Amino acid sequence: MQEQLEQFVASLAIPAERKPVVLAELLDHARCAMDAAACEGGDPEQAARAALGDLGALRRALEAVEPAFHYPRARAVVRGVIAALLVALVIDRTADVMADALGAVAALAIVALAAPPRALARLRGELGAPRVPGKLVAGARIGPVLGYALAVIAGPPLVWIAIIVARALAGDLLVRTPWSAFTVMVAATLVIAVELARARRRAVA
Amino acid sequence: MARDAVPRGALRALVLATLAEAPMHGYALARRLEQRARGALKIREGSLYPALHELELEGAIAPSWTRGPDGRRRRVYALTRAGRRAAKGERAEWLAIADLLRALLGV
Repeated sequence: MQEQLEQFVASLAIPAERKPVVLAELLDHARCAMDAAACEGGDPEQAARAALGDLGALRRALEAVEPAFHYPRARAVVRGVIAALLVALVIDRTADVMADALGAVAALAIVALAAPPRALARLRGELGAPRVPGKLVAGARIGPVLGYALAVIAGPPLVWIAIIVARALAGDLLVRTPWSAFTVMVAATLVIAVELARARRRAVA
Repeated sequence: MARDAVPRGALRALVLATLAEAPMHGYALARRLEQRARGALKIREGSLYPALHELELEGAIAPSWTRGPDGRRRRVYALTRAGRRAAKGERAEWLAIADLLRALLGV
């Protein structure tokens, strides 16, 4: 049954990142049906086939729905880099004319507007997905939203470092750091930390 | 005799109503609905998972990964705040349709 389902899912015309999700669900469904049949004295294989139903219909339905989940990570990172540039420039250019609070609101608005669609739901999916083994430890796979978040967290400081170095070379050694400069970093890190804790709690439950 | 096909909109309403009671995974959801229908309904994967994924795309339900009893990966769905609103709306709509059909069919 597992081999048949693996072949079926591999042959589906759906985004590659959705195939493990679909396979895990179908395998769990089939195994639940087999367990139930075994408890009731029935034929587990037959129960699994009955639970799967018409694979042709399942293929058509999944191939109609799943492509909507696809959002390329590269596109999300490009959006993150653009948002990071805008945030860096807005904070740098408006620090003197705009109060820190307004700068912070503007930075958060830029990040929210540039975020991939359904960013929070996608982030929950990415953080709740099974961890992938790395060279040292296992961790969350960096999907589109985590890629976007990392870009908006790391991007502005890099731009500011470049601006500070360029100004220093031009003789301007005064560096002013408005607190609004930390807003996006803190907010994005908090959102990730909270959602990661929630995902781990759900996994333990 | 069990019906194999549930109208798509009806399945959506049934899924929302069932998840409003408790978060659950696909198989448990299908069995809960079949038990409620006392054998008059058979929920197939071919309609259930696409319906769940559509609701997930709409933000009405949120999935999370857990482990089954033997350690296998399991995806559990829970209603979101938007999903609770949608569940109430769908329930009211289908009850109104049922009332209308009863009246039209002279039941």
